[in-house]
Amino acid sequence: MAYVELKGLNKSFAGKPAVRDFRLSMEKGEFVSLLGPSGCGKSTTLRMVAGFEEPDSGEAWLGDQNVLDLPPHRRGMGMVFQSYALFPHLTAWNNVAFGLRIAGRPAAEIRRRVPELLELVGLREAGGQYPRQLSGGQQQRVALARALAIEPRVLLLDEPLSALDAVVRVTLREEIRRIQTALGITTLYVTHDQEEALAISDRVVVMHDGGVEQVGTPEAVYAEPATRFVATFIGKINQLTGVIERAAEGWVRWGNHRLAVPSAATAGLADGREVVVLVRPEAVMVTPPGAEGPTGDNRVPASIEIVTFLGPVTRLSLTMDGRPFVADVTTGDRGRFHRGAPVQIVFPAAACRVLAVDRAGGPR
Amino acid sequence: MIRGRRRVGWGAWLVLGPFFVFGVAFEVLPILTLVRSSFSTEDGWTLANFGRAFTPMMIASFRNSLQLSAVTAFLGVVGGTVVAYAIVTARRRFVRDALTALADVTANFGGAPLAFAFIITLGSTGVVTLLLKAVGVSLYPSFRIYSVSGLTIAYLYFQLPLMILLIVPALLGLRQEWREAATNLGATRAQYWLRVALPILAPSLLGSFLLLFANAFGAYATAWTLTGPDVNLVTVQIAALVRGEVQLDPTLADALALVSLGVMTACVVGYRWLATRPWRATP
Repeated sequence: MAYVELKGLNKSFAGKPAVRDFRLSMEKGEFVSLLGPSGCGKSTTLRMVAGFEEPDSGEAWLGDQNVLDLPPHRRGMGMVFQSYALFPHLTAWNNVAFGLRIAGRPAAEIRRRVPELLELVGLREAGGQYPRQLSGGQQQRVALARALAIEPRVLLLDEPLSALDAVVRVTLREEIRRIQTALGITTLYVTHDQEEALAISDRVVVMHDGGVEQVGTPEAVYAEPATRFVATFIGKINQLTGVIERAAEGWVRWGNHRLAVPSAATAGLADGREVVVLVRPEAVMVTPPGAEGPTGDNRVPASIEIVTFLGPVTRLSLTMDGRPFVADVTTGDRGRFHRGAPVQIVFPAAACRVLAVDRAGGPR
Repeated sequence: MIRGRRRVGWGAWLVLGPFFVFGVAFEVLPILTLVRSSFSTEDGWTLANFGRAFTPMMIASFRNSLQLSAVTAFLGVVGGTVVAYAIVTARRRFVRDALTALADVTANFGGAPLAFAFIITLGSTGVVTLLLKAVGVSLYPSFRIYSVSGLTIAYLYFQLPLMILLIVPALLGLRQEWREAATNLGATRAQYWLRVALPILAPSLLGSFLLLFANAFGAYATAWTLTGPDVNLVTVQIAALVRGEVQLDPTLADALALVSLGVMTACVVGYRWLATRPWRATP
């Protein structure tokens, strides 16, 4: 039996659906991220679980109890807010102690527990400072300690890093993961930053327009996107729209070219069916025109339009028969590539993912 | 080149000129005159005027003014905060805007017109008094609008809306996340208000109390029109000494006015200090 089970959560605002049939099972100690663009319903889902929004329908089980029947403070959830929500008139120490005092814990226990929590988040010396005297990253650490102080069964984090600068975000997300792993606390994390979600999650729930597009490990969501939205939202990807030429052989006609894709990807699709072939830029090799390579690879002539330095990799923006395509090469090789030069792009069949275009014209 | 403080051009000074002249003529010079007059007699500099300002009668006037100001400020803070909270949590924007506009108007409605309004409603032959009498409720003689309690009610007419105008921005500054965080940490509604909202609002509440206190302390026309000399207040004493109805003593009036100015200044300084407290709620 799952530790957390969310079943068919629905929520509308003024008749407009914000969350549609949200379902998720979480194991104890698991770190799951809700990932999606602004307005996709991820924060609303989290707030329903926390008890700050009442769902129109659905269930939220924690163990053997449907917590939707309980007020927020009886649900066993600790919440960390995007804007920290620290009480400005209390020091960091007193912010952390707030929940313990409300719970009527003995003073001796509070005096022992608060420094432990501040130590856990690396702020033992900052206990006497007010929120306004702390940096954004420090404030969020205090907020995390405050949420953990009440020993919640589930930790909820609503875009906790989005107000911080890039460097602090990376450091703090690793801190959050370290603390979560050390405590073994089940965590539901909301973010719109796909890199953040992929970096720290056991599983990722990709949301779009109030619905769940895909649930999977970061590797699975990245390598095997279930929908075109997931493919485009997570990382850069090339989308080649063509038709199935021979499904049994795994051939797709794309303009004047025949692309080889895994035959398993075309199984069940009729010949002539419109599809989108997805290829990640890092799966593409760029070679001189006519260079030989392993049999079965796709080879298409192209020309380089733009060379963009991105640090460890260099992105080549190419055109193939007038269609755009991007490929990533290691920056050490960038000297070989010049704007306007003719090249050959090579990508293996195994690197291709195929999505059928549905009858309404949108790929799924 | 990094530029320092921006220089103010002659054009700006020309525009500001009339305001400076106005401020000097009607703020600075009267205060200087007041200071000089209260510290001097025909024989030269003296503290004797202040000695006469603390006779039992004058002390009683200060006590009455301080009590009336404190009571109306306290009731204004409590009642105004409750009404302001109802306004900021009203679902309809129209209701919020209409009530705020009403508060804006009534906060500035005072003096003789307000006193007359209360006389014709709650006076011995006022509309409300007579209507209540018709249904068997006699306000008089146990209640009199021409008394301190009547004056308290009349002052609340402008104290409440002033408090509403002062506290609405602070209430709007209470962030929803604070309530949610407190709730998440186990706080009940009462605990949230006692441990989070009220401490955050405290600078605004105390500052507003001081402004309301000063507002009531300096009020004269409403008190004089409603109660005449029946209620012994500092402002009534000052006016009587200047007019010379019983005793003409402008230097004593100046001494009383200077003490009152000290009280008012303390209120304003306290308000300014509280208004800059870093944890206050700001929208």
